[in-house]
Amino acid sequence: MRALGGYAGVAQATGSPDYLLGRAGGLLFDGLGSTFDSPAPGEEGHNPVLHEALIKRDAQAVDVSPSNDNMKEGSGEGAAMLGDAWPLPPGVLAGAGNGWANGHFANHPPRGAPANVIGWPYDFPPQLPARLRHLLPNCYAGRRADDLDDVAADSTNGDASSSPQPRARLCRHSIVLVAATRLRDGDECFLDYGFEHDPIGHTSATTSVTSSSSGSEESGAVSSGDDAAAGAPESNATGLPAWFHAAKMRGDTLVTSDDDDGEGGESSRSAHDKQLEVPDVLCAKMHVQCFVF
Amino acid sequence: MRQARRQQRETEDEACLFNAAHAAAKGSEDVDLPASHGADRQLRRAAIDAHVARQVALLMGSLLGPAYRPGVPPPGMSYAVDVQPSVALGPEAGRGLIVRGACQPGDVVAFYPGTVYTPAEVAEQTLNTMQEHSIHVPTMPSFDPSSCSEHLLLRLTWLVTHMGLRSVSFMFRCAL
Repeated sequence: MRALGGYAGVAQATGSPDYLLGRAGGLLFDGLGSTFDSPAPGEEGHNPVLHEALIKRDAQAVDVSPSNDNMKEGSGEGAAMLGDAWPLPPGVLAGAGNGWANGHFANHPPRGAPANVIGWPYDFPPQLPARLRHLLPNCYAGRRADDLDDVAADSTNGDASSSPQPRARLCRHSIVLVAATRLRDGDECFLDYGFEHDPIGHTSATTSVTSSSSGSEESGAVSSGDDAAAGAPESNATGLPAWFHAAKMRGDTLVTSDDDDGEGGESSRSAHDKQLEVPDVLCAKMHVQCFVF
Repeated sequence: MRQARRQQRETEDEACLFNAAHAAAKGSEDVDLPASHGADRQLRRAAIDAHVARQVALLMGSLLGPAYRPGVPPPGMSYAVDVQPSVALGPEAGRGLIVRGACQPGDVVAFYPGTVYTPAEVAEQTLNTMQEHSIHVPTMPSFDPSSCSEHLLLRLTWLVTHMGLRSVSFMFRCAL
């Protein structure tokens, strides 16, 4: 896994830089599924900040049609992937019916504790039975403008203003969390967010998760960051979006000298932590959490 | 140093999963691992992939049963996962993923859900953001997302986190 720190445009487009994972080859997973609807006002779970962010994200929907030069210039896999992807049934959220699709709740381990689950790439087979397809946990962000959802015009919901929308496509490429150790009832799953490659944060919380190793973990100084939707700063002095501010603050809080590269010992780390007032526990959801598997 | 640490961790992760896959297949405990390079590594990864595929099949199959309830081990399985307030990190950490029942190394405990962005989309949106915020983007004739995949993302990250301190051109020159 690789810590990548942040994906500027995607983080802004999704409205929340949290819950981002990456896979080798560059596929990026947004655990919030921001392409789709959030609970509407008045519904359980509605979050006005998140709701607005998702609306903004939808307004910036990516066109991955073959005529899109960006897709042509890229690997070309975007259009090719969509071409053979299964359409998401209308009104269904990707992963909504999959009770195991909650890996984005796995936290980074607390200081001194090892990770106990590992992220591993998995591709569902092309011959996946039709009865299982709607349970796929992921879908593509990109949609083809000419690939409209022909069910959108149905009148069952009484919404006369509804118009056909580009349909979402299920994605066979996924990430699974695999237990690295024996887990007992009540144990919490911890996934190493992998900050060792963070260019400024030096938030190494690398943990050895081999069954035979112990104590090779290094506790990184990690700032707390609750869900962006729960109250990220509105802006900063530079006028950049909140997540920029968050990343900057995180850097300010976490930056350490390069010579303290995880080998400095507990005494120097403690002194540094005290100076920076780093909390004893690592917060669950960093402002940015990105990996490449 | 950091890259070496990451590579070490990747190797450890792979070894851990290979051990689990081997143990599941043979019913034995840890075994000596083959070398981590070349064909041996491919074999290891293939073994892990096969094991993970079997585990995924179990999870997907459990969803088809009428008795499936989140947080309750389905019939034929010894574990489930539940989303509850984090027990280890405290209330400030929000919710966490909690195991119900017991699972062994190598058991798939969850899928990572959500939206998938392709490399081209990542590059496009990142560059758009740079332009939106008047970040100077020099001519990049050699810019090709397909050729840099993982490194591209890291380089773009380098820009974001070092904005004002590093230029874009430096970012793309940065050797990783």
